[in-house]
Amino acid sequence: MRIVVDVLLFLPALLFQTTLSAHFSVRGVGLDLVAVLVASLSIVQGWIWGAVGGLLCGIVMDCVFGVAGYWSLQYMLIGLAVGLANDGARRERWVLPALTVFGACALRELPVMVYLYFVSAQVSWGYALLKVLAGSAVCTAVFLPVHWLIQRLHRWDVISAPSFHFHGRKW
Amino acid sequence: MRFTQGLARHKIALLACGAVLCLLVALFGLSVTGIFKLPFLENAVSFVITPVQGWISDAYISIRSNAEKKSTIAELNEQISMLTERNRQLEATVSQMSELQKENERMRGLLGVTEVTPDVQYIAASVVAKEPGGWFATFTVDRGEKDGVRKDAPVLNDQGLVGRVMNVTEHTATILSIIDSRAAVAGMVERTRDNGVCHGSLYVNSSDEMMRMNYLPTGSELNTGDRVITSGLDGIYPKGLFIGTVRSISRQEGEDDRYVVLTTAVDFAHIEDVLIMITQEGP
Repeated sequence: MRIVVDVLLFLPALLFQTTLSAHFSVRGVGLDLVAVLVASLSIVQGWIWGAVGGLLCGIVMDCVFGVAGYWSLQYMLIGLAVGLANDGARRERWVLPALTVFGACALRELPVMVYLYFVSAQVSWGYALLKVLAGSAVCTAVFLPVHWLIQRLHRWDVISAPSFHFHGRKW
Repeated sequence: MRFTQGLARHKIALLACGAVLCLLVALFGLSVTGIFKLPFLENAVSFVITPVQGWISDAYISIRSNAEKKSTIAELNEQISMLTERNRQLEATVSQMSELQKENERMRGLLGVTEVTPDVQYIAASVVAKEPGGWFATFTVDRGEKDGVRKDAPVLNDQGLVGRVMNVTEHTATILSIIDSRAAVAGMVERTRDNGVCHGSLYVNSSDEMMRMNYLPTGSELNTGDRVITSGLDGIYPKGLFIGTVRSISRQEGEDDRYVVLTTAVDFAHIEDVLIMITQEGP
């Protein structure tokens, strides 16, 4: 049941991200709803789920925009980093998740910046810094209420009933 | 401590994740250089997702255009009279140009110059997805190989040059717009005929800069408002497509880093429909 609910959460997020997100961004800084969901579910469900979920969402985005590895690398990094950093942490705490989401959102921009540096793209350091910091801040701000909702959702009995066991963990 | 315990517990899973991450880095590198593609997967995903994206984009555009409909009847009447006047002026210009074209053909005939204008056709396409990351200015349209779209085909709209086809699947095409920081277009200042290269740019400044023109000749005397068109020297875009106008000039006597900032002809923030050139025999 959990997986079904998570897939149902990801579908509208993916559609929003590919169609509407760019309309609401200012100079390339905008909300990445898929990243927020990957981070939140990676804390709730564990880092393996976060990494795999991020990878699958990223593959869909890669197929839409025609660059293999670009989005899948970013979302898998977020799922893995946030999930590992919060593995076993108490769920009531908010500072560590918020900090790790900010850090992971900044970290995922690194491969793109390296690529843009090597192709001599006309990107200033000022823009790169603003984009990374502001983008991560927006994602962190949206992450907090979304994470609160997802935690509530996953505590609901119907949803929290495990579908199967894998790697010694209920899924 | 907790973190290291977590790592020790799932060594195999972590190693697998590390391997996948390395693979993704390699795929990204190969994909941006054009060596690696996922044609089957891209076709399958675009076949399923493109119609849904089209509906969402249409719904958004419809809501936005309804919200923007604030014009009163008086304003609309004023616009109609202004457009009627503009139409008259354009009709006069077209008639004049038609005469010039005939004269040009006669002269060409006298000189024995062969007509080189290629047979150009256009396909209209709607934008269904926009790259949300902010680093790249690419978008996806709902036309693909089955409609005759080919890689590197120039893309424009009623305002001017939009970009070129970067990637094409059976049902969709990804467009690399001219404001992408990786894009370059051979441009020419229409008035002075000075050649340069127009780059998309990502800079933080007060003018909200999106495009620069570099490598202009030392002696060129440009003014703000000068029109910049494609020169055709890059072998991708045909000559004469409107790129934008000169907004500001950053050049002084003896300065090495000389460039002009352009205002693009196309409003990339509100781009909805484009035309893809499907037949082009070269500039």
